[in-house]
Amino acid sequence: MSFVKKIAGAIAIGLLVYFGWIIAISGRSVENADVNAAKGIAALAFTWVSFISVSTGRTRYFSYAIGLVGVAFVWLSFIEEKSILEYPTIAASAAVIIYLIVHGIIFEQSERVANIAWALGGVATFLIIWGSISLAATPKGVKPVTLAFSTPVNDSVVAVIIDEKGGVVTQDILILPPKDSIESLPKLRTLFGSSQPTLTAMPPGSPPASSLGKLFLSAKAEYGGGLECFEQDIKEKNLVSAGEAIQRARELQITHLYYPRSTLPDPTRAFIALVDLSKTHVSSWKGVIDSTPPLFTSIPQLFKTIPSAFPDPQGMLAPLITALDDFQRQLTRFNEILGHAFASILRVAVGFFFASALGIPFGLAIGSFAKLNATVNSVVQALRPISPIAWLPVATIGLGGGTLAAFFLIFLSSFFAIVISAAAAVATLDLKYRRSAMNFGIRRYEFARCVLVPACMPSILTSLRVAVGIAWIVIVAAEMLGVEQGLGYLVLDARNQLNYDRVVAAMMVIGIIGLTIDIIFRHFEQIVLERRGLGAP
Amino acid sequence: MNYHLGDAFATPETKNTKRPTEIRSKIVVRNVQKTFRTKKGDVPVLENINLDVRDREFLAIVGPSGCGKSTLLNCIACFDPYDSGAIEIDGELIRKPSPKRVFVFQEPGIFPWYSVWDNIGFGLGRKMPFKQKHEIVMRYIELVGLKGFEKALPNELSGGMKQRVEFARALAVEPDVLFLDEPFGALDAFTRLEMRREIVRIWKATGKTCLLVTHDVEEACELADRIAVMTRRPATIKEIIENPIPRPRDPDLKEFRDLKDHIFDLLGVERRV
Repeated sequence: MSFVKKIAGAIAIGLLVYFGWIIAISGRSVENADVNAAKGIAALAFTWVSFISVSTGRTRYFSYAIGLVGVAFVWLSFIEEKSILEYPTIAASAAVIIYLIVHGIIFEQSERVANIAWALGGVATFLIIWGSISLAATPKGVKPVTLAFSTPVNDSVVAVIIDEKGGVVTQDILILPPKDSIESLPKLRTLFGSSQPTLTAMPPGSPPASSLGKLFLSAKAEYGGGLECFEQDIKEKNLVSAGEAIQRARELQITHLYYPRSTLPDPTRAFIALVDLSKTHVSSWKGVIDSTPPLFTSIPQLFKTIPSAFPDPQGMLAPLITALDDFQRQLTRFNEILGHAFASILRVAVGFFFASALGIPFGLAIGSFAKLNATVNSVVQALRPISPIAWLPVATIGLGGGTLAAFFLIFLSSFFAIVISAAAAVATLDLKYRRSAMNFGIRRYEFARCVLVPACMPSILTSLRVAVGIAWIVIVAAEMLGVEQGLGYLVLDARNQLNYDRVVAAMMVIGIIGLTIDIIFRHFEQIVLERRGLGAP
Repeated sequence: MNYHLGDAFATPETKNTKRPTEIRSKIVVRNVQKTFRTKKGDVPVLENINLDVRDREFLAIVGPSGCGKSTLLNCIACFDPYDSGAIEIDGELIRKPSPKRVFVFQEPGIFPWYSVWDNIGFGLGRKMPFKQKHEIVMRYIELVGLKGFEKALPNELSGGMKQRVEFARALAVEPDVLFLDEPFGALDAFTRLEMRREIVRIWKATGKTCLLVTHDVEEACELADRIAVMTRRPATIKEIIENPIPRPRDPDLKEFRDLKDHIFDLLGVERRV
């Protein structure tokens, strides 16, 4: 009987949340969107209060009463607004209902299952709050980054990129291709850098068949759908070169003040963008296969070039990096999100591997030898607070940007955290362990192996988990310059295309992978500690 | 960081079976002084400590808490430096810890990442052949009554069992001297009683010199041949009392109570609540 009651209660609460959501959605077409979103959140709060009361089995009648007030409240608003149902919201609402029903069934089940259910409930709640806020907030118009060309003079043209504030980001003279070739494209690519323009202002009367038109089309093919071309009718014909191009860009920017959509991306739109990102292009499979062998064949080459190119890591690693970039490019073509995620995870893995392989022994050494500590401590402590992002320009000039710089930034982001906690672990080593070892006449090496490392293991493992978290945060910033794959690149690229649904979808993927990494490290930590008798008994 | 490690594991001296019958001093502490230097000024801890510990004797040091008795033991074990005076063992000035003199800690100092077997075998060094090591380890596991727990990790053991592992680890290297720093302090009343019986049994069976530090007067009276009573800081040895009561000792005997009362009087403590 109580079981039926619980299910009934769960369904009722699910419906409550559902209608709360509907009310929130109804704000989409009217002015007082934020009021409606607030109503949705209020209904949600009511829901949780009554839900928690029911599930804990206390003050049941009180919680039913609160639930009823919530239902009445939501229904009144519903009748008042005469809103329509909208399909994307149904998915989110259905998820909540299913969750509540399942939770209703598993109240009496194991704690583990119940905890998973609570976590799902947390996720559902988060999605609802996110959706409500995205409805309440009206996005401001965005001035896109804009590229403009001047009128060609003597087969050359000035290209200018201005940012959203109208300031000139970069400008250069491009030699127009004589017939079919597009020699200026590499230069245009350099010009683009990380600020890919969204709008392009062409001089009046420059048809796609012209050299300038070809240049633009090639750029468009290279950079995806972000570029949109507009021919600008210039009033003052006597403007020359750069000034002309800047003015053209500014005019275009103002006339095409960009509204990504009428609302900020809500969960449903982000999911749709994510589905779009995970489309697999089976025809590109061959490219992935073709680009795999160079990955392995370039490794022996690496060793061959060591003696001659040792002082130049960039040159030494060039074949491997090229092969890797090519593989990632092909993988991205095959499946966009897979390629980006793979690139990011690989960069974090390599950087983090070197950081821990060097950081743990270095930290233990610093902790063990007072003189070494005195020597390097101030340098380490001074380097530590420098954000890896501040290293970006130096890494770019020293390592040529790209993948190698990303490896280096990830290395930096986790290295110091690992070193410092390993050193601190040695410093806080329990005196009785130290004295026991002394007492039994254990030598330095044996002491390190049998006492120091095992005793510091818990702190080191925790620091590894923290460090990989930091690395995953930094990877997004590290990929914003000089690379063409990776989740950080995806965020920036989607923003440049003003495709905010994609931005949010990429953010979701970053979050989910971050969560997965944390879970994996937590389990790893637990297993190692248990095996070493340091876990909870 | 400022520690020094002892020699590599040295094979413990073979027992000298032809010991002279007269009582001679095993440990000699002469005019030892120690002062803690803090920012607020110098705090004298040990003042002119003189103490002779006989060979194969069980000597207890009792004193009020914080009086410096643990500091004295740490000095004798060469874990802490002292300012002046001399500490000699077997007629030699000692400078660093050695497996010949093993310290048993209040909180078990056994390594939680090693099994019972590995912990007990820890002091035997890595070069000893497995067969020989196994034999020794198993002997001491049996001695402390932990048979069947060889592979258990310390966090699977109770407090009393951990303390036994600590004892077994200390005994396995066959030391001449055992330093016991309130070894039963962290145990519950029942386990403590059992462990006291156990330590007397082991002490009788192995004939080590034992130096016990405790604030528990009853414990000192139960275990020790002689009891050194320390005063409050700066600590000196007020009196060394012979304990003539034959073992096994019953705390309810009149002599036992008189001995306790005498020590409490020396410590200046009113023992009735």
